[in-house]
Amino acid sequence: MLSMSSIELEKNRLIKIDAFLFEKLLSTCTPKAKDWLVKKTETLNQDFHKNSFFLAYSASFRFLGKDEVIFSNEELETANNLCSFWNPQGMKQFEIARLILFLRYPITDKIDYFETINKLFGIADMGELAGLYRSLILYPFPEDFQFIVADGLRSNIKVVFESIALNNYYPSLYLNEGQWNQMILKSIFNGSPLNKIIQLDQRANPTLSRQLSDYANERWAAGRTVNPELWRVAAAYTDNQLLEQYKRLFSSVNEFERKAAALACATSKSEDAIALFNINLEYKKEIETQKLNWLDFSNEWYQSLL
Amino acid sequence: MNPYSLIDFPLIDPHAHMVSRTTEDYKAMQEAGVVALIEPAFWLGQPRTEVGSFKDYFSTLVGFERFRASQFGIKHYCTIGLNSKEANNEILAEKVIELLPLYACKEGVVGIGEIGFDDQTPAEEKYFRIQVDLAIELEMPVQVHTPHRDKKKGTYRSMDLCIEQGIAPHWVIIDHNNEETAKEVLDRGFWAAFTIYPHTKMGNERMVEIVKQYGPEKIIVNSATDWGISDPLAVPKTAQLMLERGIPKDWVKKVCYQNAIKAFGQSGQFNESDWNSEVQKIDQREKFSGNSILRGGQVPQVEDKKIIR
Repeated sequence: MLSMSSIELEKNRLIKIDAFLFEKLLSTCTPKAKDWLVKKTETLNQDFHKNSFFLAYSASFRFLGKDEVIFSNEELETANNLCSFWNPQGMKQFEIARLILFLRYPITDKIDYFETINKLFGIADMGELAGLYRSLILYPFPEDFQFIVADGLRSNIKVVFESIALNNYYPSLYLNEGQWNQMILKSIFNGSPLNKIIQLDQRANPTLSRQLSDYANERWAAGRTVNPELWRVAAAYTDNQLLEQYKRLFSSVNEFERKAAALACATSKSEDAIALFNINLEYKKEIETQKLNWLDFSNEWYQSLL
Repeated sequence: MNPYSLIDFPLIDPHAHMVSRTTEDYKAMQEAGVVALIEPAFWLGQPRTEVGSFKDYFSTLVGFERFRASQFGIKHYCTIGLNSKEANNEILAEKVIELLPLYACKEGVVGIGEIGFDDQTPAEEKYFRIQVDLAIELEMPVQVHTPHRDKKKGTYRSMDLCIEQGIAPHWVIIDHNNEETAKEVLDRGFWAAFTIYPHTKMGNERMVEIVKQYGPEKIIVNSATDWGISDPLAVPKTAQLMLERGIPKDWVKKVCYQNAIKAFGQSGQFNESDWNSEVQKIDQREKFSGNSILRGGQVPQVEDKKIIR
């Protein structure tokens, strides 16, 4: 059980986020949607029942629009001030309505709160789950969501997995190394783009480099290719096995593999890798002049898959 | 190329229990022109003994199964309800009824179903009525399963019960009809759905005759494909046969596509634009750098054509 003061502190933070979202949403939705939302929130405020809360949460989809809400740069800055790393751009009207209902959940104690959270996640449909996960960093007691998040990362529903893994600060802030590494490996398995993972380079670690390197060897043994973004992550901790892999990539007929090898060697801290970089001249100059970097590489690679 | 050569228009299978089917079935349905399907909640062959089993089943219908279908370019919807067989376990039934509103309002839930009679017991009647009331309250269509045994009486009783509860016939889809029940169902203004099963219920050829006799206005064809002997391609096969036997194409489109939209579209959750726009993919965040290997779930990810090579 928490002291009231920490709950009060969270409440004050949430009230500001809520006010920001509410004002923005009301300025974009139809009078009918507005009516519904205002009435629902008032009813829940005066006479809170969990089942009415769950119903309103789901039914938001029926009453609010599916249009994306466009936030101005100024508004995005406000959002970021209200909660570091928070970016509401791209949310749809009904998703904002759900978030408002969720943020208004009357927290009396943490046990009750997490009982509700578990139920909400437990009965959520695909879209609801993704929506809940996308806004993780806003919720009170974020560290206590780790179990729920680990569950979401086990999901095979791509949209659910990606709602946590991509464009979301939560994993980089709260996942332990084992969980983080599993998320990266699974992103590769799922074909999810690594360049959308926040803090991808910062959370590199030797275990992950080894796992990625082994994975590439497995794929090669089966006569398959790998997502060349993998080398970006693996390069941070280059060992002998990786060096051998870079050599193979340098001699590949695939341009992306040669570029990835050059980038991996250039960004690696390994002296042997840098030596490899210096003797493979094809992309050396482009990399040194910043004409080729991992970001452009990723974009180009995903374009090539179209 | 559609393997059913005469079908050059989209189809809907408004009754298909896909949790029991394989990805090969999804693939075949998609190739045969099925763009959307509705999965009614029903019993799993093995009776459930805990309410949690229902909860997870309903979650599957709005979660994993929806995703699985999307991988094959089919838009998945469902109806939520307590089926007639399991309504007879009253202690459990009470708990399931409490669960229903939490799922009925979710995205892509297009009705309450499949509910109705099996043995035509008092318990079945009780929960049938309660669920029709829920449909009225939430303004949703009702998908009614009619019994295998004592079918004619069960079908008439189902319609009487709906009228007694105060739901208008155009909100109700009476399913699993045959030659003996069709006329009365249509005369009373209900939607008449026909399940094409290989051995029981209704066969393709008989279906052709029914459409010839009654016209296409309130008739809906489905497969009710499930864990038993059933055919996930029943709708395309029947559509093909109807065309071969000279039924006008616009009639076939009605009974195999448009009528399902009219009936279930009353929920506000079943719109042509859902699956048409799905092809272009709407949600920006489901894409990456304007691209996706799965194209937001549109194209099945078939890495190797053959599993062993």
